[in-house]
Amino acid sequence: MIVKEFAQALNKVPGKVVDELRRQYPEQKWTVDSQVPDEILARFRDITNSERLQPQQSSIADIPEATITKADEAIQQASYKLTAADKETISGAIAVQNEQSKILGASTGVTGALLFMESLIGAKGTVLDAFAEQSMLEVDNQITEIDQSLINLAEEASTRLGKSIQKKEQLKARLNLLRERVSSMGTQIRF
Amino acid sequence: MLIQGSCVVEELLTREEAAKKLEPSVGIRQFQKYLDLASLYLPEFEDFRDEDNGGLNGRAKLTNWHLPVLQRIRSYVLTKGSLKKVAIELKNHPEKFLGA
Repeated sequence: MIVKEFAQALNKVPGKVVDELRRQYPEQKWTVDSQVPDEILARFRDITNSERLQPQQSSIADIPEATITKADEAIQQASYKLTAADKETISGAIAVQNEQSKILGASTGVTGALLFMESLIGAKGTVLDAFAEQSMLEVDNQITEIDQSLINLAEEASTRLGKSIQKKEQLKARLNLLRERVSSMGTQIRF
Repeated sequence: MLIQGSCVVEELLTREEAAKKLEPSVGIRQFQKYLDLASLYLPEFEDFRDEDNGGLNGRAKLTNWHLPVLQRIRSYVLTKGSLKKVAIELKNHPEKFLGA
């Protein structure tokens, strides 16, 4: 049996069957004209057989209820239907809850990430601020030190200047003394 | 507090644009093959499957969010050399292609 015929037997679109076969058996190439493997055909027969069996089983179960009274049967049927509807509602609710949890998780994740970023940037800012302050302080210190050195230098220079003026004066005095001696020598020689 | 930084916004892409954005870029036919495989095995790409007739759905919108997965498929094809091997890998380890 080829895929096209198989799809017809299943009452399905061939393209969908090809998709499903590709999903199940990725190692093979599938087209609508490919042969359907025997194992799938066998499984398909199993499914159709069990489908045929199931209604029989449920009809056996239904018989005793049907024999009681019409009203009872109606109630029973209604309760079956309610249970089935309940089940659907519950599974629907569960699906909604799952979806909700998913969205909640995502939004929690986003909130967490934003908080993380906020505190990261905040902390980074604090550290940078502290660093900037520290370095400013350091520069200030350097400037005062330089100022002090300049003042010291100026003081030193003026002291030196004062001292050399003093020395100059002393030298002048010595020179005068020398001149006096020399002139007195001249007068002594003349005598 | 002002948060600075860049933010990726969803950007609609044509099939041709997306094919060119892959590294190395591919032709449109090859790109359709990657999309075909992705939509067959990854639930995130379900929209690209035609629900009624099987095969690819041409109307599904492609965005920049789809690119990383397609890029992984592209890279895998490059290293393994065949689409069939990628298909088997996609079936057995779909999480390899999704990743963060």
